[in-house]
Amino acid sequence: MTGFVDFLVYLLTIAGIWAMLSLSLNVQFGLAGLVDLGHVAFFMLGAYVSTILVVLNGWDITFGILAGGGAAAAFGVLMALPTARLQQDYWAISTLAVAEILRIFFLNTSLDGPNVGQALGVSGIPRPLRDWFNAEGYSNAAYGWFYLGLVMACLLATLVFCIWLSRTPFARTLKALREDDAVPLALGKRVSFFRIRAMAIGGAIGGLAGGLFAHYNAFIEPEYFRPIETFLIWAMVILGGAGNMFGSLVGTFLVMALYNSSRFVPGWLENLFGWTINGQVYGSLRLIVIGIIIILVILYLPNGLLPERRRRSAP
Amino acid sequence: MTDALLSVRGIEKRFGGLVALAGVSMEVPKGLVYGLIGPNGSGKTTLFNVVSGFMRQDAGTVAFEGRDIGRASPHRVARLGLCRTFQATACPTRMTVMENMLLAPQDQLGEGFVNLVARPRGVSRQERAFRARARDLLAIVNLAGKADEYAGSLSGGQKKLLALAQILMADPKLILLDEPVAGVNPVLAEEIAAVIRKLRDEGRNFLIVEHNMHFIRSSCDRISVLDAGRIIAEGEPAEVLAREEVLRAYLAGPAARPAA
Repeated sequence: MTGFVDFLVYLLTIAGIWAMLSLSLNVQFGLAGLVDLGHVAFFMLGAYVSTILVVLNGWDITFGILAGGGAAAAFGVLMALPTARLQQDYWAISTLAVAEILRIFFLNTSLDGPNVGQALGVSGIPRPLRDWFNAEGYSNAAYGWFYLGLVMACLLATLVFCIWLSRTPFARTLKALREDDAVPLALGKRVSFFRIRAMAIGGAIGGLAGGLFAHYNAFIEPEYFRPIETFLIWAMVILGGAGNMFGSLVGTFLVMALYNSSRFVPGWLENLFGWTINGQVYGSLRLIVIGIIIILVILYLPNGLLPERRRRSAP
Repeated sequence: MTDALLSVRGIEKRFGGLVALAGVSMEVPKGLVYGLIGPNGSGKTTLFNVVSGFMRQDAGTVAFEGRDIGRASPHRVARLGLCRTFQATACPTRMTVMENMLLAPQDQLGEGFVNLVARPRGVSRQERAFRARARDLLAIVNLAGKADEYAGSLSGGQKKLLALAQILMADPKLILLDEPVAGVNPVLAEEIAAVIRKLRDEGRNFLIVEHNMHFIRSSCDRISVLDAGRIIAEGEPAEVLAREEVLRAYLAGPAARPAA
């Protein structure tokens, strides 16, 4: 049973990190309408920058994670610059390409001698306070609980920040940009500056999530940051409801549950009904299931499970 | 320099082989509701787009309050006090009427992060003031009861009214209205005309493109007539609309007219 609890702690920790990613995409897409198909780039950049600074340059982990967030924010600014010239759909395709270029860059760059970086990834990434936990004689499970608490605290802070953000006049202008530039432009809004800031904020949160992931997993490789990850984040935002921050949490929970169900469901089916199902077949099936659910939600609940709330004006 | 609010000189605009504007010059003085009329395809909206910075002219100059705005971007033009509405109503539909109104003011403290963090009280004080003004303006255009409805749920006429109230919320010096009563029922159109006259008396300036001649007669102090990319007449509405060349421009197509 302890194995199962440990696994749940692990799953919740990962889900918390993904919830941060989903919130950060919700800022970019839900509030600002930016179809960012390269969102995993921020996650990747946060993970790699923090890893490089901490493992190779001996930085403190906290500063490494913060620097990862900063680098991802700066990358968000860069990605937003072409929005002034490219139309939405062309820009969306270019974000997909940018994330892949970044992944291929890390895939081909050796970081420290021949055995670090490239396809081998980076291993032995230090975990925060791990030595202290060892010295005090705590178990691995206790450390798992500690990291879960850390991630949940970061998630809570992110959630509060995103809800606060979505109620500001800044977000109001972002929402106007979702539909068309003409009206905001005619009202004197510098639309490019608003988009740049939305990308930077979403990027920063995504980068922080990447740092948290790298220092939890203790190992990263380019394979972790394939385009499929971006589409899972999109599934979370669309299922939960674009523009609703709580929706992102619900969407993350659903997608993570489905995605990880391959570890449980075949066993349950076997025990309950006597059906045997090949684990690999089920693994492929779950993506189809997620796809079908997305189609159903788009058809019947186009605003997601938790639609964006209407902002009522106090009398 | 004259005391014209808006001064347009020799504007030319071509789309490929099509000449949309063939040297348009006009002056919009202060204190008037100025009408711009002309048959379909005569270049009215193109002129609006050039003046408001959404399109760049091939030749000619645009000056607003004596300042050259011929190459300014749309948001710069708006910040100088020249704001426009659109023919196809384009207020964000997934925002409430009140949110649409609050979108309009310029120099909002709450649009910048330094102020959001350092001066939250200043931000909320400004928001309260904007909300109060938005309520007053919505009352003027009879949308007070719709403040919390999505703009997308309004009728066509109500959307026009919202666009008008929204532009007033931005507090511009000159308001460009592109077909403010197209598709609006006659009663509502007369209400819009009355609102515009009232605002003129309070010192607002308007430049209006419209096809509804009844509306033009009842709201405009002065009009210019555009035909095939040129101004062909200018003066008081009743007198200009009676001129033969104006009637000919409207009743006969460009092909039936003597070559311009």
